[in-house]
Amino acid sequence: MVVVLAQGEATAVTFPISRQGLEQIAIALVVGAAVFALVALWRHRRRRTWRRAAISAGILAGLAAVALVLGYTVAPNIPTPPVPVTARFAQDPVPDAPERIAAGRELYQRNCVVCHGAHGRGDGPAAFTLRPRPVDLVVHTPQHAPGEVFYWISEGIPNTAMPGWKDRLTDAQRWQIVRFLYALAAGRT
Amino acid sequence: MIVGHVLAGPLDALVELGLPLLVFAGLWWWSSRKERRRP
Repeated sequence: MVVVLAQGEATAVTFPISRQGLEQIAIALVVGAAVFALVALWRHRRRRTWRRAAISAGILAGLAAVALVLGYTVAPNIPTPPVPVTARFAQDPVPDAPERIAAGRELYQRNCVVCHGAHGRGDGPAAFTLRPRPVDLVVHTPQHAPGEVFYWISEGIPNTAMPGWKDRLTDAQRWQIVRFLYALAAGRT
Repeated sequence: MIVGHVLAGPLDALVELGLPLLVFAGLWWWSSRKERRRP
């Protein structure tokens, strides 16, 4: 399957949902299968029709198995640092504006360029000494919600060189960087 | 995670939960319909 990336370039991707996404889907399907299994059991004990509930449990369990098989065969493995659900839905309280993007660019150039590079490609001077290497922000930022990006900037990313910036930058400054990163990925800078 | 910049964050989660929920709802509707008695 061909997927169009943010900058308009096309790349060949084996499967449109990542292993992690398929694992999420499989968990939801297994929960559904368990609900149907309980319903089937309850109906059976009450001497009511239970076969369709049992078949439904089987179908959901089968789909969960298919999701996992796809996840560990054809789907790309894209591990994402965990983010609390509440942080995932966080939004910048201030509306977007060119001045905020400009402020974000200045903060980015002062604090982030060393590792992430001038154009966010993960190719700053220090990048080549780091394992894992910094991600390409132009590719990765649009794949995530602003709340996720804000969380990673604030808290850092475990087991990488990415530090948390919440003690060094204010909330407003970190949101400005988030605004700048989305603008950078969209080619609006 | 849906690959390819189509969806991000909350929307992505909505699809990951929404797809199984849709299948679940369909099966729930089907299983709660009255089964025809066999002659």
